[in-house]
Amino acid sequence: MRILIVEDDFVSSKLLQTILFPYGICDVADNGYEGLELFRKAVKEEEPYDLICLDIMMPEMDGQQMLKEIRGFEEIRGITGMDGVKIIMVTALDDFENISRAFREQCEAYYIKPIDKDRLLETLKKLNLIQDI
Amino acid sequence: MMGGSIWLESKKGEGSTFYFEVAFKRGNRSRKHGKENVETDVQSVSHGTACEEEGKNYNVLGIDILRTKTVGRKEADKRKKDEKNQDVSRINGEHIKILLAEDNPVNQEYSKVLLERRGYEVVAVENGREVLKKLEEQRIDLILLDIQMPEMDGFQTATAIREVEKKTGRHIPIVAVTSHAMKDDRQKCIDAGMDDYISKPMEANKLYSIIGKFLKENMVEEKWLTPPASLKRIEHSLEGNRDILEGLLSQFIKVIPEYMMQLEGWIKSRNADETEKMAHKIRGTLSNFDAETASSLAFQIESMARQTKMEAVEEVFAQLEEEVGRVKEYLSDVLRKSS
Repeated sequence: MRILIVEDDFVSSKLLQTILFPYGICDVADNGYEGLELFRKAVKEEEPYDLICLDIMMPEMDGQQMLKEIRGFEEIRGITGMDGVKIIMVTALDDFENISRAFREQCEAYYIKPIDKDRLLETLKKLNLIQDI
Repeated sequence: MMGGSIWLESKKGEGSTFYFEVAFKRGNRSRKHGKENVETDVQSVSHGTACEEEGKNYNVLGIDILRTKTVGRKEADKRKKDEKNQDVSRINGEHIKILLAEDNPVNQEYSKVLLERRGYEVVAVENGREVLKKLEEQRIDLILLDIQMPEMDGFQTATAIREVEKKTGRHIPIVAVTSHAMKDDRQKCIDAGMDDYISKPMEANKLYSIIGKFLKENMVEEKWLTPPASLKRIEHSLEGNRDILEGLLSQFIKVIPEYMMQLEGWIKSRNADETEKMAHKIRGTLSNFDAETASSLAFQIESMARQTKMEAVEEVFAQLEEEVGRVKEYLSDVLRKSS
């Protein structure tokens, strides 16, 4: 599995990498622009990501914006529904507006921090990204 | 000992003086390299009093090594004020109490001197039964346990202590004091539930470093009765990988002052948007260590900034700064302990 972690906080990023390490290869970006670049490149090289863990509040481009850009990019290329990359928003924002907006823009899951191994892997399992924990 | 004698005087709270007296034969060569060398021919150590009458035959040399080094409590306290950061003898301002179990009075006094010199409070007993009794009566931070004692030896005592602790859930560090450190003894000490051992004669620096090792471990727990953060979750998430945890802790300690400085800057310039973002980032990183109080303060700032209520932010920031300081100190302690 190819994984992209977009997270501006070093500690959270490293923690995600450590938890996800046994399940795939992780790339990391610390802002939306950089994340989007990596995502586009992977699609063009026909090695798309299977999972993106996306923080929302970040400098440059935030996660909501990046989510929108990703789905727009996929749509143009005819990648729809189940073929699209699975996106889990990983954020401390738990307000209604952010959550509903992320689902409107078609994230697969919304994970509210703190990052916890069991809870995160449970989320991955629900998305059929992993079998056993 | 060599036909001489040894004795001591000790006053609680002041210190102890050790005396010994040994007679040597006058050497043949009293001159070396042309210098007078009589003082070393016959020596008696007596704080300069005991042998004065015999001064004719003995050259009296008062050596006061122990007295000068083994400062009394008052002086030790004074000294500690000067070396605040190197204060090894207190936890939360309370004296560290060491229970010393040793049946030989000379050895007992010797150990006591070494311990009191560091400012530790010493409770001395002579056998295992008394150890158990003292443990019931008062708080003890560490036990120095002589292995060979009458009535109840060190092994039996340690086993009994650990048995009692099964109920209390506490774990007092026990350091075995052995007169001949044999391989067998070491294993036996560990089997009996002791944490470490030191062999006689005790070397001061070794003794201090062993005690320091255990008290440092305890200090993190005792100092932080209500720790401002918890590593339970992150430790579980990292499956006990200490290297990564240490890396994250040191990164956090390094980076958090930077984050706080940036936040302060945005608050001062009344930039609500950036204040919100920065406070949010701080909250995110704090949440990894379950720093709940700090997280909720950061959240308050975040919410205030979102509603562009920047007037009251500074007050909350001051609280956040203090709490983040506590979190940082706690995590530094944890890091120090683990490395």
